[in-house]
Amino acid sequence: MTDDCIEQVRQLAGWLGGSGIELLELSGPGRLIRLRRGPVHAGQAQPQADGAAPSPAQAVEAVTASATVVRANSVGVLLHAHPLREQPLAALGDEVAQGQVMALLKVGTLLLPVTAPCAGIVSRVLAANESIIGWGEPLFELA
Amino acid sequence: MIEVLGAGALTTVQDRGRFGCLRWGVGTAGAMDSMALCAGNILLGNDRDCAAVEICVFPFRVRFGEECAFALTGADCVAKLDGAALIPWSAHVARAGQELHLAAPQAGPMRASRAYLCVAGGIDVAKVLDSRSTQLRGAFGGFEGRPLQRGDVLRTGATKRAPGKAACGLGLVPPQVALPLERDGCRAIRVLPAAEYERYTPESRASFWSGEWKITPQSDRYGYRLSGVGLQANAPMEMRSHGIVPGVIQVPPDGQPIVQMRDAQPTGGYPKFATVIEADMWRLGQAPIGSRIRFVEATWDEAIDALDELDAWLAEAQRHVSLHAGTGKTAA
Repeated sequence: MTDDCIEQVRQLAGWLGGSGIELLELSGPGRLIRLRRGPVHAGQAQPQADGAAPSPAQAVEAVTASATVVRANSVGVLLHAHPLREQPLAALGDEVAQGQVMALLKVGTLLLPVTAPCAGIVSRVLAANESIIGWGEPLFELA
Repeated sequence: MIEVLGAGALTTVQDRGRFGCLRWGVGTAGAMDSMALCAGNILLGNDRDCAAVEICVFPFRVRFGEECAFALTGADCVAKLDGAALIPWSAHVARAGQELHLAAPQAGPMRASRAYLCVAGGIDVAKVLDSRSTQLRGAFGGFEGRPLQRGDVLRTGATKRAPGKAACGLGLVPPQVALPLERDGCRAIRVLPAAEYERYTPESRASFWSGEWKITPQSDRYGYRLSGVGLQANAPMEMRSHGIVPGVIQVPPDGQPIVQMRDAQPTGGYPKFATVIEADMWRLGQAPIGSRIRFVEATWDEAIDALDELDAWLAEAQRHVSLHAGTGKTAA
């Protein structure tokens, strides 16, 4: 492995540390890299910066502990409606069934479905159409 | 195994087409929207050329005899699997006994006219002259050389990956969204001037490019008859029959052009005004009857570049789908 590669792995590890991802696997012709985040020891738990504003995810959890938050299962550009349709897949007040597609995440040419983890009524829409979404970001709240 | 419960006329089994047989008088046939066919096959991990069912008359209903991964591409037909709504341009998995229902294509600015039902492994009909496409004129290929009808049972080919794996729910951005082509709010089709182009009046040549052309009800897999400002030749032309290919725009004596489509006969005697570039045949193949199109003049180089653009898009889609399917495997 060249120094260049090691530098890239270092950068990947850095990004991994700042995300909620536990395992990153990259494979290419003749090579495979697997980075796994070790368990966080009690003493060195993630630094909680003093006075830092809670992240949107934390804020959502704080406000509505009883509701289910539907999170992104991928990175991508959020689409509330299929590109061939105008009507959103799930709008405020809509009733959704478990497994129903609530939105799509566009990654390159792909459209990945975001499905409802349980049945419920859409009580909040937490991310704007066409916004760039990261892993685990809250998209909807189901009451 | 898939049983057809209800199919309108002209529902046929098609792959990309039967190439290299024009010299024997055998037409090309093949999917009118080859991009939709290839995309559906890519979603399922099939070879791009696997045969699918092309549907242009609705409603359409089938029952799956066994668990089966399938993809719906082409026109958005408000598909339902046992009553549950399906997202268009996506792969899904049916359990044995489930019924798929397709309604008429959705209205709207991007309305298309043909839907494709692709299945994992492809529709397994015998290859004739190296293609599974239905040759309606010769009554061979496809399923018994004819359109599908109620009660027909289609077999599916061997699959490369287990149904239900990564396929479920995965979708593609439809090419008409990713690679749009419009002029003045109208579906645009790029064409090359053909052999007899210069023998039409300057006014006719100008109006061919500037005007809108309506797709008349006398349009099908054989050809699209257009209506617009008639094309006038400088002098009447008497021509012998000569070879023609899908995409050729002929002008009969009434001046209203005919675009030869996938089931075009291999010869014709009308003057050839222009030719739709190969890379835009899928766009025209989805243009509904009654809609209007505009022609845009292209050069040979632009026509080749447009083909490269489609190939690049399909290659990218294939790469993304296989990467995603690969991740699915790791997680399992």
